Amino acid sequence: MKHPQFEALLFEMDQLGREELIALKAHLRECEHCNAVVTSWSDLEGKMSSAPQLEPATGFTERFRERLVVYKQRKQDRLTLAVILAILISLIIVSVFFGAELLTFLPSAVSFLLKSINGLVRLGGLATLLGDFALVLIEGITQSLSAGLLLAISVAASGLALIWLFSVKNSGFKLYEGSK
Amino acid sequence: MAEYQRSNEEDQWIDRAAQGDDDAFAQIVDSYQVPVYNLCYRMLGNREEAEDAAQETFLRAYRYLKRYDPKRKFATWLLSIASHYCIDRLRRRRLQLVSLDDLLPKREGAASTAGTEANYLQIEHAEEIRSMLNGVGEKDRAAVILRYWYDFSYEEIAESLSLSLSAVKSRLHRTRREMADRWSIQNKAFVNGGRQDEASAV
Repeated sequence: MKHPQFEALLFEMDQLGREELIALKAHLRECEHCNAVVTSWSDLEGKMSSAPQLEPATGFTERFRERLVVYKQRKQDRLTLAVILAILISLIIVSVFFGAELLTFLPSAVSFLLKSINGLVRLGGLATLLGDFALVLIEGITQSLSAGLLLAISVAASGLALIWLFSVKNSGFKLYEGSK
Repeated sequence: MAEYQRSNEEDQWIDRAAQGDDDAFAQIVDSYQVPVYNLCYRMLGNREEAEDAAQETFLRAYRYLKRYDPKRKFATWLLSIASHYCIDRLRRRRLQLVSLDDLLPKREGAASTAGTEANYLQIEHAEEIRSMLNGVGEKDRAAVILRYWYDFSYEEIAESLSLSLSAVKSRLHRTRREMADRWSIQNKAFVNGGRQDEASAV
């Protein structure tokens, strides 16, 4: 082996085979330069291996937990901000592309909504009125008629209602078949 | 130089932490704080930055825990995060035009440990090693630290620092050579300085 080849082995002494190691040691006895490098490195390596392990200041894990809380909070804040931004961007896009349509559609939509609410309120009022009227009527009838007569009228009314239902059903089928 | 082996208990912590259990992750922090902190300290050279870098390493590990491959050694994965973070930090530091005072190693703990000769020698000793490490590039420094303080194999260093195996070998060879040369020059200067002091005293 020549000098550069030995130089390449200087820091691998612990991984060398027996013959390589003998050759290197012989070279080190002859070569002052390589010997100086190996001696210097061994000294430095010794100091490095004897350097003490340092301990972080007490409470490292607690400080990490605090940092983790801050990190999670920031992550949450960023997420919220991203959602708000996405909504804003969507609104801007909708207004840019569909602004004109919205301006014409919105008044009619609002007016339809108001009319629907008004209709529902009126329907509600009518239902209450009819309910009250029916209650007064039933109360009056029950008070003026005897129990037997009331039962007979109820049975008769139910019978009439059933006949009416059957007739509606039959005529409905006939109409349906006729339309086919 | 310590070797960090995974235990069954640690596997459970990792699994639980990956499912969002912060207490389990705190256990991981507890058991790895010393090696991570030491790596950061040896890379960055001062205690405040080492603390911050170690905390940031654990935060990154927390964020990327789901990406951790259980086939790899957890210590290797964690220390590789720490190495990358410290390398980035050193690069940023180099880019910033900071004053020389900020770059010079600080003598932390000197006040608390001063007094005994042994402690003084230990601090001096640590300063010498730090100045040797500060003289080499970021990745080379990380490679030397992982090799000599953490017993990483060349393959593990290559994996941790995203380098090829041959790059690791050549970098380590060059760095050790450089450090050995500087160490020898420094020692000669120290010996010559000592002789001059003695001569002037006579």
